[in-house]
Amino acid sequence: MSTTGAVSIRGVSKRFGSTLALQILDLEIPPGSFFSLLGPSGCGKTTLLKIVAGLERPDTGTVSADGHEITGRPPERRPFNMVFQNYALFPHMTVADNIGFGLTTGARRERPPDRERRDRVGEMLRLVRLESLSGRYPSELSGGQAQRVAVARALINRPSVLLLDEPLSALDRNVRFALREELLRIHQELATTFLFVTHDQDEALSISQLVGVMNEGRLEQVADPQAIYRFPATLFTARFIGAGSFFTADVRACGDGRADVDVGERRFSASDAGVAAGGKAQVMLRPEELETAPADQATLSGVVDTCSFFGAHFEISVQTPLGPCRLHVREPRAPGDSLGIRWPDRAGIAYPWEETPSSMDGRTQG
Amino acid sequence: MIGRSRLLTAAVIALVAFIWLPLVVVLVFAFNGGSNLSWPPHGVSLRWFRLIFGDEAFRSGLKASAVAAFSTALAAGAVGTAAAFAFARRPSRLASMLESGSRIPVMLPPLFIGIALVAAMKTFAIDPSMWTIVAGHVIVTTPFVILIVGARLRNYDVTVEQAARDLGATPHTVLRRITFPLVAPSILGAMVVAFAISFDEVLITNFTSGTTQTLPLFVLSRLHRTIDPSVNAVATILLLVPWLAVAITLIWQRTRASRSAAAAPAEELARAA
Repeated sequence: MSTTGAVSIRGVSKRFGSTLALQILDLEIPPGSFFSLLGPSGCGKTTLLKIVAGLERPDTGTVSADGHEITGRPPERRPFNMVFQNYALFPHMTVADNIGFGLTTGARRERPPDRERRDRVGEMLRLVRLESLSGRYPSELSGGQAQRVAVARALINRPSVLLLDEPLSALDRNVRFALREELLRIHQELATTFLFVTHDQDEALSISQLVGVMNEGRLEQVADPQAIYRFPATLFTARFIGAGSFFTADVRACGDGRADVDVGERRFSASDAGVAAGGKAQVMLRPEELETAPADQATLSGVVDTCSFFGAHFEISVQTPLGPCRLHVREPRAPGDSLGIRWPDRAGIAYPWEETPSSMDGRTQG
Repeated sequence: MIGRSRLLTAAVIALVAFIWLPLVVVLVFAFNGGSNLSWPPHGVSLRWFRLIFGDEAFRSGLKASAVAAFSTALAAGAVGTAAAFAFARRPSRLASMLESGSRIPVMLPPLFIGIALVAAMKTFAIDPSMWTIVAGHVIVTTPFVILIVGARLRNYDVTVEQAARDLGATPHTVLRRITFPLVAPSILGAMVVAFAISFDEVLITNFTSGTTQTLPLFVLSRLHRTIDPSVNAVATILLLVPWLAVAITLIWQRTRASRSAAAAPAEELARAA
C-alpha cells in the first residue's frame, strides 16, 4: 500500500444559503485506498468531494493531504485531480491533447519537454487502452471512451488522490460494468488513492475497500463493504443498502450486544444497534436470512405479493401479520400462494424506532 | 388528405414565390442586356456592372460601406462580447437590468435613433463623419452581438473550466485556452451579423453621414431621379456581399464543427442571418 494519498477531513461544514449541505464532519481516508462516498442525491457527498478538490471552500474545518493542511489552496495547487460525471472533456482538443493538458499548465520552466509529454500521454493512453483513438475529438467518442479519456487526463499529473464524481452514472449498464472493472484494475496498477462518489450502492460495495455512507450532510457509517451490508450501523444505512424486511418490535432486554425483542407474539434475539430496554425498535433482516419452511416449522406465515427474477434467485415479497417482508427463493412463487417462513435464531439487527421517511426505501435507490 | 396536401403545397409555393419574385427580378435585370426594365429582358450582359464600377460615386460608396461595416463588426464585436461575458458570468440585479436595457436599440424605431443622433451631434458639436456613421451602426448591432455571444456563454458547460482549473490552469489560462476557443465561433458569427446589418443600413446612416455616401445612400440618390437599370446591379451587390460573408462563415464553422462539435453557434448564426 502506498504511503502518500492520505486525506483527513476535520470539522468540515458547509452551508448554501439556508440549507446545511454538510454538518460538522470528520473523515480519514487511508493512503492508497479505494474509498467511496455513498448516499442519496442531496446528501452532501458531492459537496464534500468539491471541498476536497478545492472547488468549494468549507465554512469551518480543515482538509489535509498527507499531513499538510490544504484548506485554502486553490484546486490547481492541490495534488489531486478530478474525473467529472459528464466527462468535461475539452471539445476543441483531441484525445491526446486532452490527456496532455495537465502537463502544459505549469510554469514554463516546470513543463516537461515535448518528448516527455508525448511519452507520458502514450503511457496514459495504454493505461486506459485507447491507443488507437489519440487523434479523435471528444464528439467522436462513446460515453465509455470519453470517461476513460477523462480518467487518463486526471491521472497524467500523477495525483496522490484521484477524485471521481459519479463517473459511471451517465453510462449504459454494460459499459458501466466494464468501466468499473477497468477502474479497479487502474487502481491496483497505480496504488493512487481513489475517492469515488456515487449514489449507486452496487457500484460502491463492489469496488471499494471502504465505504462512507452519507445522509443529510452527515456520515452515517464508514466501514468496509461487507460490514456496511451485514452490520449497518444505523437504520438509514440498513434501509439504504440492499433490501431488507423491517419489523416493529418491543425491546424487552438488552446487553452484550444482543437485544431480546418481541415481534408480534414471538420473542427473538437480535443484534443490538443502540436500542433501550422497554423502548420500541425496528428489526431488519436481509432477504437471504429468511427461509421458507413447511407449515409446522414456520415462525411466520404469509401470502406472496410479488415475485421478481434476479438471475441466481427470485426475490418475493410476502404479506405477513407482522408486516411485509422480502426473501430469496430458488423457485418462483405465484402471487396469492400462502407460504411459511422461518426466522432463524439470532438473526436480524434491532435499531431504535424511527418514523419511516418515504424517501428511505432501499429498493428505489439502486 | 391528398387534396389537402396539394392545396398546402400550392400555398407554400405561392408564398415562396411572393417572397422571392422581387429578388429574382432584381437579379435578372442586373444581368439584362437591354436598357429598360421591360419584360422579357434582352440577353445577358455585365454592362450595368461595368457601368457602375466605372462610376466614381459608386466606388467610393462601396468603399465607405465596407469601411463602416468592418469597423462596426470590430467595435460591436468587442463591446458586445465584453458585455455578454459580464452579464453571463457576473449575474446580479444590476447586470440583468443592464442586459434588458442593452436590448432597447433593437426595439427603437431607427428613425428615432437617427433623429436622436443628429440632436446629440448638434448639442455636442460633433461633425458628421465615418466615425458618426460607425457609432450609429454600433448602437443597433451591439444588441445582436450580446444576444448571440450571451446565448453561447449560457449553454456552455462550465465544468470544462473547472476541469482545466483542476489540471493546473490559472484563470487566465482557462480564458485563453478553453473559454475563448469555445466561444470564438459565436463571436465571429455575431461579428458577421453586425457586418451584414451595417452594410445595408440606410435610415440611421442618412442622419449621421454628412457628406460621406455609403452604398445604400448612393442607391437612394440614384432612385431620386430615374429608375436607372444600374440600380439593379448595385442592389445585387448589396444582397450578395452580406450573404457571402455569412455563407463563408457558415462553411468554415461547419467544417470545424464536424470535428470539434462547435455546431451550435453556426445554427445561431444561420437563424440570426
